[in-house]
Amino acid sequence: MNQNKQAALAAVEKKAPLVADVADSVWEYAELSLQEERSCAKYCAVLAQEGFTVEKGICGIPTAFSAAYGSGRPVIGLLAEYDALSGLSQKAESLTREERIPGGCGHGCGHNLLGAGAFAAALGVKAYLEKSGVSGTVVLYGCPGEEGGAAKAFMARENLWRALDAALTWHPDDVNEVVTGSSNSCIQTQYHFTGVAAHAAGDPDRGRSALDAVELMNLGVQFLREHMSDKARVHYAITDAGGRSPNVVQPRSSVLCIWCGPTMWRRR
Amino acid sequence: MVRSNHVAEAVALQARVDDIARGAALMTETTYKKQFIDALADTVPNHALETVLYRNFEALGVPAHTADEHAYANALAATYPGSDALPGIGAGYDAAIAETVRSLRAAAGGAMNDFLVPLYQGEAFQPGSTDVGDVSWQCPTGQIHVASWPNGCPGHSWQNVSCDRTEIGHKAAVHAGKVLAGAVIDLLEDPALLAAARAEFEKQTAAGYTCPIPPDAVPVVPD
Ligand SMILES: [Zn+2]
Repeated sequence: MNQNKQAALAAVEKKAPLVADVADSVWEYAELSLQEERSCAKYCAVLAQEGFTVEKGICGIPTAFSAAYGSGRPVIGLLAEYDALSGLSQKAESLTREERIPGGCGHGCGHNLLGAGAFAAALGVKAYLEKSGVSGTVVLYGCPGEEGGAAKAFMARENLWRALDAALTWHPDDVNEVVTGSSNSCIQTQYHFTGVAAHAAGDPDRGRSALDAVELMNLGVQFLREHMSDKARVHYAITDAGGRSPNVVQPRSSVLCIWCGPTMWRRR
Repeated sequence: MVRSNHVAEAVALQARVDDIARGAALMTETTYKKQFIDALADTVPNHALETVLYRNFEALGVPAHTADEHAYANALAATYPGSDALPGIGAGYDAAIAETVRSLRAAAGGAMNDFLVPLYQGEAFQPGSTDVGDVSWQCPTGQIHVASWPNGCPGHSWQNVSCDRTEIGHKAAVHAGKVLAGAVIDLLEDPALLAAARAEFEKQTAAGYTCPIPPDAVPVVPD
């Protein structure tokens, strides 16, 4: 390993407290997809302090950012994520299920670490570029909404990634490895049904139930499953079942569908 | 290998579900509105970048953990089923790697997988989806996993949240930073590595990328 590279990796180690601080702050903010205002602001502030050229709200997504250092080609991208999951508020370093904030969100996919690790890498590459004088640009991309929102796909619609010579990232897991293979392609669409509210006991003939429509739709999809590629999946969630009152014909109801696959490879 | 364009197939499947929604509305005398939420493509692997990442991972090793960290990880692993699963993508596809991982796990002796899984570059599939896939259709893309949780820790679990704010998590983030930075530095120093990654990328994505996001769609905050 040459000296410049060694110095760059030592620079990452030196920044470990800052990396941990970013990871812990984002863990505490625990913001849901596309609502990561504080997490994004934290990254933008710290990256500006570290000498990166920061642009917030890229591709029209308010909680996305880019932070660049260096000049010329090649241009290498590093991908950071920082969104949390609902219903997963949890105390740190605990061995039992204990909510930190009742009903709150939590980093159940480790994206607080994911972003911080990509940030650490950007700091290392910057240290290298500074020392070596080699031509090249490193860009840390703040990619919100990975759990929902697919910001990177929206960014791809703007052809953002085509400008890169390569992109690298990581994900927390239970193992140390280089990732290979493919993943599912997916489309998520919500169906909002509207009916007519009525007293379920007094005037049921005047009501039209949106909840019934959602139930019939799910039943239809259930029968469809036999007749589609066995590599494809349709998942669903009833995101709005109408209301809490059984004595009302539910005038509105929504179901969220996710199509996945088909994919090339199946795990043995 | 040329990868086929799966996004087009997903769009066709969606059209069949649209018909079901129409039928459900007809049966119940209701109406419905369709709202696009999000969509993402499958991932295109890049073996050239994987090799660069692996060389750096090998040179840097894996995060080391203290006795306290091991004790916490072992205790956390006792709170969920499946803590004895065989970890790693390669172990699911390659018998020799599975054997190696089994003995590496036995040698590690605890819930933290403090070892590097041998490089595997055969066919593989990661259940689930990620929008990193869309990046991988537009430029050569490489990814690593760094052990941040005890073995078999379920995804999207309270155990993940609990462990994500510990020294184990911090060490994983810093280590990921080093491996990724090392790989980027290699790419900056040796143009041949980027050329190989690009050539492989061009071949793999010859079918063309269909962005699954409709032209008029705007990012939607999920409900
Ligand atoms: Zn994730």
